[in-house]
Amino acid sequence: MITFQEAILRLQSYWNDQGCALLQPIDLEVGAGTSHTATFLRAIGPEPWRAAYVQPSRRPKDARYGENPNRLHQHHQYQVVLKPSPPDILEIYLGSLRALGIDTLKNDIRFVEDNWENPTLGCWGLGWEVWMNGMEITQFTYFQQVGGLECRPITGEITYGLERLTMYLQNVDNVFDLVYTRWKDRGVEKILRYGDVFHQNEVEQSKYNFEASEPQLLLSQFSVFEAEAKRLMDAQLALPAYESVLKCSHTFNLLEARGAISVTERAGYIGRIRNLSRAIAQSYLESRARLGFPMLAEAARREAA
Amino acid sequence: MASASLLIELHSEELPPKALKALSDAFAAGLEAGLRARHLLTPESVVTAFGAPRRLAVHITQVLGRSPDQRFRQKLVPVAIGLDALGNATQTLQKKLAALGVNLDHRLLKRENDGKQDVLVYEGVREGTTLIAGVQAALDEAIGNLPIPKVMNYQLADGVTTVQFVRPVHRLVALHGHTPLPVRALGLIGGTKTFGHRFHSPGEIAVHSADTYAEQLEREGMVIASFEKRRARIAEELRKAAARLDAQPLMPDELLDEVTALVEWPVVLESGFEAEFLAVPQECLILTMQQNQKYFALQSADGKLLNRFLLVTHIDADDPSPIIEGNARVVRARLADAKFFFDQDRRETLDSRIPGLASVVYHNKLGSQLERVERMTGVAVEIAREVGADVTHVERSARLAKADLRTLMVGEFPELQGVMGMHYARHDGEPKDVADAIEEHYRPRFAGDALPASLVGTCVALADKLESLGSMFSIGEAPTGDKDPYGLRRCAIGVLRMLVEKRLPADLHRLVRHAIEALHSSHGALRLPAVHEAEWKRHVDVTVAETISFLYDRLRGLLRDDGYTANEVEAVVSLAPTRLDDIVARLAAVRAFMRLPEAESLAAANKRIGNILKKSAVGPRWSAEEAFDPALLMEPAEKSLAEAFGRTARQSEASFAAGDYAGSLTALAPLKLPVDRFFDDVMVNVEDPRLRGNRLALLARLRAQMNRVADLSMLAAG
Repeated sequence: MITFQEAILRLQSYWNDQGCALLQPIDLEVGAGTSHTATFLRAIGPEPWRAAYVQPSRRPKDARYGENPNRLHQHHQYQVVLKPSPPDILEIYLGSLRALGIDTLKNDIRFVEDNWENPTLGCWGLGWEVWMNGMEITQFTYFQQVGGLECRPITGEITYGLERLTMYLQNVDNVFDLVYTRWKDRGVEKILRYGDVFHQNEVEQSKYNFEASEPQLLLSQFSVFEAEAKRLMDAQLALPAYESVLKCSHTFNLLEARGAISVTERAGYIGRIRNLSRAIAQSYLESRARLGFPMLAEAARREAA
Repeated sequence: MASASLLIELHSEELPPKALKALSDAFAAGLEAGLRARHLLTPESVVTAFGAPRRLAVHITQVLGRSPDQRFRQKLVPVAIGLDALGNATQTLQKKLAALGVNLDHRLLKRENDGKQDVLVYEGVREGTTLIAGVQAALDEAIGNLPIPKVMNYQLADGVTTVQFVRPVHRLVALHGHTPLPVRALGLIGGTKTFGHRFHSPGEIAVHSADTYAEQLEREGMVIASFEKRRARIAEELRKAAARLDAQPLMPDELLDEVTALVEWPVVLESGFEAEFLAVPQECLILTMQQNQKYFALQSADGKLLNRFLLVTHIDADDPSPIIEGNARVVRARLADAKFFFDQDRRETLDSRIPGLASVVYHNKLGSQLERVERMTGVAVEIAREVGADVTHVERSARLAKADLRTLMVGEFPELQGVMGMHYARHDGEPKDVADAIEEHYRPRFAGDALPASLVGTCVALADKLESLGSMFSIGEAPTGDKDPYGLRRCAIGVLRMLVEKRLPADLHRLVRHAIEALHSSHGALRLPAVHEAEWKRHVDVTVAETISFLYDRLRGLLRDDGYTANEVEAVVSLAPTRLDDIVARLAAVRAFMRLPEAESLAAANKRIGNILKKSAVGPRWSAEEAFDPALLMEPAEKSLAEAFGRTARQSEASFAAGDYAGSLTALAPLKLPVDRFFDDVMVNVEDPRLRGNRLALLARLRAQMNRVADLSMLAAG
C-alpha cells in the first residue's frame, strides 16, 4: 500500500525526471494550484517553464466540520505545468500513474472532455478530467487564455487531487482514514492517519468559515487589498500586486462561505477580481518584456548548441 | 494512376464525445464534396466515415488518380467587338484570350449566333487535377469547415508553430490504394503510420492500403474505427448482458452516442450497488448513473430498477474485477450522497419549506420565489375557475410547486425539480393529483415533451408559464433576436400547446392580463419604481398587448410546423382569437372552404370589400347594422345580394353557433354569383351620401359575416 506522503514522493521523483522545477506551495491562501505564481503568471508570455509542486487548496464553502468523508475545507493538489506543452504530454502523464503503481491494463483510464474556466482569473482552457474506473483522479487542461491574454505557447496543466487519488489507492472510503505515513518503532508498526494531521483544522476552520468570521472586517479587508493591488500595479510591481489579488480572492471566498454576499452582489465582486487579474497579467507580461524575456533567450541558446 | 480507394485519417488526442459524431460526419461530407467538385470521384464512389475517440477518418472507393480533362465552351465577345475591320483580333479579344490562358490564333475561334448577333466562342479543354492537388484542396476545405465547438490552439513539437484544431493531432494517414499521399494538414505530412488503442496497442501501425485500414485497426490496433459499428456492438452487448439478468437496459440515444464516443474498443461489464439504495426514487438513481457515471441502468420486466448496472470500458482485462469494484465504489459514494439527501429532505414537509422560498432569488426586479409562487397561485386559481378544475387542489399544488427548490436533492440535481417535489408530496400525504401536478407543472420541458396529463397539473403548468411571461415582459425582458435567457419562447409554446391540444375553454387575453396584473398588484414588495396608478394601468395595457402579440407569433410558428400554410394560419390568427380550443376546427373549416369552387372569388371579393371599407373613411362610431336600410336598395344587383345575404347569413350563423365552422363557411358559397354581379353592376362610391352609406353598410355586414370563422381576405391570391 502506498501512503499519502509516498504518493507525493513518487510524483516528485517522477516529475523531477521530466525536468520540472520542484517548487514549494505558494505561502498564501489559494483555492487551487492554478493560483500559484508558478502557474498563473508563468503561463503568460513566450518563455518556457516546467514546474511541479503540492498546493494546499482552501475552499471555505466546502468545509464540513470534519464530518463528511469526502469534502474538506482544505485539500491538496499536486500540480504540474509544462510549457510549451510537449506533444507526448498525455503519455508522460500516464507514466506518472504507472509510477504510482497503477496498471493501465487492469484499470480503466479514460480522458473525458472537461473544459475549464475560472472567471475570477480570466482563464479558460480545454482538456479532460481523467477517470480511473469511473472516478475523476486528475484534471488536465491546455491553457488557452490566462488573465485575459491568449497563451502562446500554451501550457499543459496537470492537477492531481491527492486525497481522492490516495483514497482510491488505499481503498478507504473516508478521507480521515487515509494512512498519511507508517513506520516501525522498535518493531511495532505505527500509523499516522490523515485525520490525525488535519481533522482538528477541519473542525475549527469550518467554525471560522461559517460562524466566527467577521463579515464587516472581511469586507473592509477586501477593499484594502483591492486598493493595495492597484497601488502596487501603478508602481509596476506585478508580483506583490498579484499577492494582493490572491488575498482579495480568498477574502471573497470567506465572505461567500459566510453568506455575506448576495447573488446580485456576487457578480460585482467577481468582476472586480477579474479586472485586477487582467491588469496584473498584462503588467507581468510587460515586466518580462522589459527584461527581454530572459528565459526565452536561454532556451534559444540551448536549442542552437 | 488508376482509380483506387482513398483513406484519410487524423489521429488525435481524445475528442469531445458530444461532438464526435458531428465532426466525423462533417469531415466525410467535406472531403467527399471537395473531391467531387474536382471530378475525382465516380458516380459509384462509396463514402464511409469513421469516428472514434482518437480519430476522424474517411474511406472513399473509386477515387481517380487524376481527374479527367474537362471540355468546355466559353463565349468571348461579339464578332463586331472581337475583330476589327481587317479581321484582326482587337485588344479586347486579346485580353479575353489572355485571361483564359490560351495562346491561340483567333481564326480558330468558332462563331455562333446567340439569337441577337454572332459571337466568338472558344472551345477548349481544361486539364484535370492531379489526385494530390485535389485531395490537398479537399482536405483543407474539409478541415476548415468542421463544426468545432471550441477551437484549440496548440504548438507543434518545435514549441513555436501554432495550429488550431479540436485537440492536438499527431498523425495524418493518407493513402490512395497502397500509395501514400504526401498531403499536408495541421503541420503534418500524410503517411501510412497511425496508432491503435491507447493502452492495448503499443507502437505504430503501418496501414498497408486504404482498403485494409478498418480491418487492420481492429485486428492489430484493438480499435473499432466505425462509430456505427461500435454503437451497434455496445447496444448488442448491453442487451445480452441485461438478458443474463432477465432485465432491460435503459439506453437513451444520447447516452449510447456519448459512450460510443468514449471508447475505441467497447467491453461491457456488470457492476452493482447495495439494495438499500433502491429506497431512493428511481429518477435520482438513474440520473446519477447516466449523467455522472455514463452507466446503463437496468430494469426488470415490471419496470423496477435493479441494483445492478452495466458499464462500458475500453480495457479488455483478463480479470476485470478492479474495474468492476472501482466503479462500484464510485457509485456507492454518489448514491450514499443521494440517499443522505433523500432521508434528510423527508424530515421536513414540503409545506414547511414554503416560507423559505423568500430567500431564494427569482429575479432581482421580481423578488423571491415565494413572491413568484404567490402570483402563480393566484393565476392558477383563476385558470382553474375558468376551465372547471378542482380549485382547492390547484391552489394547493401551485403553492407547493416550487417548495422542492429548498431541498438538498434538488440543490444537488437541479434536473430533478418537480420530480422530487412529487415524491416528497406523496410522502407528506398530499392528495395524489396534487403530488402529480407538482411534477407535471414543469411540462412541456422541451420541444415535443408530453403535456401534463391531469387537469390540475395543466392549470399549474399554465400559471407557471404565464407568470414567467407576464413578469418578464413587464420588466422589459422580452426575448430579442436569438437571446432568450429566461426561456420565454418555450414558455409561450407550452401555454399555446396546452390551450390548443387540450381544447381548454379559457380566454387567452384574460389569462395574460391576470398574470400581468398579479405582478403589478404586488409591486409594493418589488424593486419596481413606484409610479401613479394611471401609469401602471397604461403599462399593464402595453405589456398585455406585447405579450399577446408575442404569443400570436409563436402560435403562427406552431401552426406552420403542424403543416398549415401561411395563408391559412393568417386567416385564423389575424382575427386575434381569445379562445384557442377551436383553432384547429377553424383551420379545418378554412381548408374545406378552400376546396369549394367559389372559394377563390369569395376570398378576392372579401379582400376587395376590405379595401373599399378602409378607403371609405367612415367614423369610428359608425355601425353597419344601424346604417343599413333595405328601403334604400336601388339596383337589382344590390337587391339580390341583400336578399341572398339574408338567407345565407342565417344559415351560416346557425352553423357557426353550433360549432360547425366548415358548414358556416360552406353556407357562404351561394353568395359568389350575387357578389360578383354586385361588383359588375353597382357603383359604391356614388354622389348621394345616403346611397353610398347604405351600400357600404351592406358590404360591411357581408364582410363581418364572412369573417366569423377566419379572415377570408387572407386567402385571396396575390
